[in-house]
This record gives sequence, C-alpha cells and structure tokens, in this order.
Amino acid sequence: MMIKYLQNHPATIYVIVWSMVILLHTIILNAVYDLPFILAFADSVVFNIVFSVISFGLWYMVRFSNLQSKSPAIIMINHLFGVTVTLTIWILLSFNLLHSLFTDYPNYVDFLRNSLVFRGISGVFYYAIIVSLYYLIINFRELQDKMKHESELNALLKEAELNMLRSQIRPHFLFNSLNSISSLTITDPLRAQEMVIKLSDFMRFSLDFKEEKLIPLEKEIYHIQLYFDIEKIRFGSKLCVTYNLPPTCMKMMLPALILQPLAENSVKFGLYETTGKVNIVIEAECEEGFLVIKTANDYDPDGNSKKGTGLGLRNIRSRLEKIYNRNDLITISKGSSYFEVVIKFPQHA
Amino acid sequence: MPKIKALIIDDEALARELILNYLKDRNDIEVVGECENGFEALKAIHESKPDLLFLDIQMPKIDGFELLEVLDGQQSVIFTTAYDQYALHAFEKNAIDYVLKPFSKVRLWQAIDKAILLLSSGENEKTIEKVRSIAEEADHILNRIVVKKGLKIIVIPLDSIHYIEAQDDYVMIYTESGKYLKDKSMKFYESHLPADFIRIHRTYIVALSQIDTIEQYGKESHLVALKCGARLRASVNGYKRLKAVL
Repeated sequence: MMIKYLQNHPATIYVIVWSMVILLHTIILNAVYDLPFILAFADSVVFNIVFSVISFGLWYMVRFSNLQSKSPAIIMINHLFGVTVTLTIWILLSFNLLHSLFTDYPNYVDFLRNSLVFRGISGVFYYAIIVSLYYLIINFRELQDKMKHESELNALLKEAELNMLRSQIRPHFLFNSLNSISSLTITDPLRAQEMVIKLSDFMRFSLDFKEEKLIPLEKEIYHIQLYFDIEKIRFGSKLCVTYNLPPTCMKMMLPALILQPLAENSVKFGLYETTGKVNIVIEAECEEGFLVIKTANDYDPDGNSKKGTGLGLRNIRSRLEKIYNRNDLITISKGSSYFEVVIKFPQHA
Repeated sequence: MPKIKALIIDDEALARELILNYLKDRNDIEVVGECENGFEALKAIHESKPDLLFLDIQMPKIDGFELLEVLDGQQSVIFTTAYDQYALHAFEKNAIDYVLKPFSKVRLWQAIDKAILLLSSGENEKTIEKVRSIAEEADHILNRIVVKKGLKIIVIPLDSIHYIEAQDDYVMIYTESGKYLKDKSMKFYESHLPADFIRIHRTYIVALSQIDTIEQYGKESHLVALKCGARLRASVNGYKRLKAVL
C-alpha cells in the first residue's frame, strides 16, 4: 500500500528524502561543529532547499541528454557544465542569503567562509547522486514501457495467429458441412438434423474458447468426436478414427481445445490430401502426475502438396509453456507416412 | 436436340449427390459419371466425352485448376467451391461462372443455362483459356507440377525435378522418374518456382540441390554439371544469378 502510494506520488518521496537530509545536516552541524541549533537549522534549510530546487532543473537536463542518443563526450561536457552552473548558483545564493541573515554572528560567518571548499566537494557528490538517480528512474521507466509494449505486441501477434489459423480451416469446413447438410435434407432428413445438431454443438464449444481454461478430458474428447463425426458424414469410410481412452483418464484436466489443432491438422494433411483411406488414432494414458495424449495419423507420402506452416503446433507449444511453464511437454515424430504428436499434461494434486 | 453430357467431380459423396438431385428434373442433361478426384476424372472424360463439368476446386493431390491444365478444353465448366478467396477473386476478375456451396437449385440451373449458351456458341473454350491465364497471373509459388502422360495424370513433386528445358512453346521437365512435356512457358516457371530453382540460361532452369560442379566453358560461359549426369550451359547472366545464391 505504502510503496504503491509512493510510486504514484514521486513528489512525496522527494520531500521526505530532502527532509531527512536537512535533519541529518542540522544534527551534524549542531553536534559535531557545536553550532547553536537555530544556526545549524537555518544553514541546513537554506543549503538543502536551494539545492533541491536547482535539482528539479537537473531532471530536465538529464531527460534531454539521453544516454543512448548522444556520444559520451557530449554527455561529459553537458555534465561538467551542469555541475559548474549548479554549484555556482547553489553556493552563491545560499552563501549570500545566510551571510545577510546572520551578519551579526561573526563566528558563524567565519564558519560559513571556511566551509565553502568542503561544500563545493559535497555539492559534486550531491550532483552525482541526483543525476545517477535520474538516469536510473528514466531507465526503469523506459524498461517498463518496453516490457508493456512487448507484451501487448505478443498478445496481438498471438491473437492474429490464432485468428488466421481459424480462418484458414473453419470457413472451408463450415461451408462444406453446410453443403452436406443441404444434400442430406433431400436424401436423409434425419441425418441432416443430426449433423446440424453436431455442427451447432461443435461451434458453440469453439466460441467459448479461453486461453487458460482447463477442462476434463471427457469434455475435450466430446468436442473432438463431434469434429470427427462431422468429417465422417462428409467423407464416409475414407476417414477411420480409433479412440483408445481408458475411463480412468477421463476426469484428468487439460487446456480447453488444445487437441483441436491436432485433429484439424490430421484431417488437413491426412484426409484432405489423399485419394485413399486415412487412419487417425487418439490415445490417452495416465502416468504418474501426468495425462499423456497421443494423436497419430497416416498421410500419403506422395501427397507432396501443401506443407503446413506449423502454426497449429507452435500455438500448442506456446500455450503449454504459458500454462505449465515447461517446454518439454510436447513430442513430435514424423515418419515417411506417419505423423505422431505426444503431449504430457501435468496434473496438479 | 441431343442431351448434354455432364460429369460431376467432387471428393465428397454428399456434394455429388446434391448436384445429381438438382439435375433430376432437367431433361436436357444426362449425367455420365461421378468422380471423386482428378485422376478418375481424366479417365472418365476420355471415356465418356462430357460437354459439361461440375468441378470442385479443393480436391486431394490435384485441384480443379490443375485438372483443367491437363484437359484439352472441349468442355464447359461450372466451378463449385465452398471457400477459396484466391479462386473467387480470380473468377470475379475473369467473369467465370461459379457456384458457392451450399447453393440452391435455382442458382445451379442458372449456371447450367449459361454454360449451355457458351457451348452452343462455341465460346466455352474461352473459359479454359481464362482459367489458364489465372494460373499464369497468380503470384503464388508452386508446390508441385501436374502433367498428363497418355491417359494418366502425373503429379511431380518439386524435389524430384532435376531441371527444366525450353522446347519452343513448351517446356520439358526432367525428373527422377523421366521427362515430361508441359505447355507452359519458361517465364512462368522462372517466376512461379521457389527460390532454389535458378534460370541459368535462356533454355534452362536448374534445381540448386541437383548441381554437382560448375566449370569454365570458353571465355564467357560456364558449364553446370548435374548429379544426374546432364551438363548444361550457363549464360553470363545465368552464371551471375547462380553465383548470387551459392
């Protein structure tokens, strides 16, 4: 709470820090140099407040002599100039003010005169500390901006990729399915109805997509089955899907729709590109602490056509990384006519 | 008037069935066959000589366009497609008729009437020409080449091509499994093959992966020896292009 408040109110920090410096300064003058409290306090207040006001101006100087955009020589010259001007104004102003205020205290005026060299040296340190601090703040802000920008960009990119992936397969799938339904309404209205319902269920589930949502395997499999059922109505015996799913695995959790790109890939590269039959296998296994899903399809070795962009697989990989914070969960193996993906989903206790 | 012979080409049985159903009430059309891919289609076209093709674009191994490339262009074509932005754009631009799945009976009949009109005026060949020019204009990079040998369609994967040689208006494609004639221009292949194919001479495009050695030949030109044993001359410019990528 406190820190958050201070982050949003830099002026408060500024006042607090300078107040502490003034306090410390007063105590040292009072205790070590035996100055009367009122003199010590006045000295401290004048010198420190004058410096704190000047250092406001330094902020703008630092902002506009950005470290990355200028050569080191120019920055050095800038700061030599900055430190000279700062110290001159600071000492002249403070000295004259205190001198005129306390002319009646010769001891103090002597002290003031003798302390000038020392004040000059401490001024250089003040300057160095403040400027470094400013650079740190600027750097930190830039870093934050950059990180924010990058994460925004990443989110956009991911969304764009996902949209592209969907728009590639979905419209084609959707319109062809509708065409099949149109055909079935004439020859087999009952099956037409069945397909409309399956297609609706499928679309509804897809629309509900959320990146981080975990669902039980039985739900995900239901969705995959809908998809394959629809494709089976379209392609008949050309498509053969085998499920090997032990009931014990069905309650285990995995990210929603994570198997969908695999199903679509197996259809796109297996089924759409062969004039023969295609076999697709979906298997689940419960290992210790993991749900292991294997999907495999054969493909026509001389289909030789469209090579995928790997977008679907990349997307799965990045989702797994995001959700489970691991990059060793997916294994892809490709034979001359056989494509297999194994994914391990960690199960939290 | 003799009936118009039609052939339905689509990889989905239900889609073919729908067209069949829509054609039931048309006495002027006789469906002579149904095919589920381009290979079957070429055979059927040769055997039953249809006048009209209902042609799906997206099919396994060879698509509707590639099938048309190897036909002689005697038929009128009605394209049926679900979703293919590239094709639709090309159709619009070239005023080629197509029907979008799912389509109504009325829509299909309209397309048929139009096709019959084209057939009777002998202008159907223009459609095939237009489709060919679509392929020429398209800026997509090929990932296979489809040729006809006798009554068979042969799909040539790009990685089996050794080199391509100009032969008048045709090109000869030399591959692992033999050579194939194709009625396309060198210019087309120069711009539509991936970057690992280089035109080294007015008459040659070679696959980079097939190059064995390159040696000086005379003062100006070079000789490119391929792994398959062929030795091809490279022109000055061709050699430059080759050097730029090697």
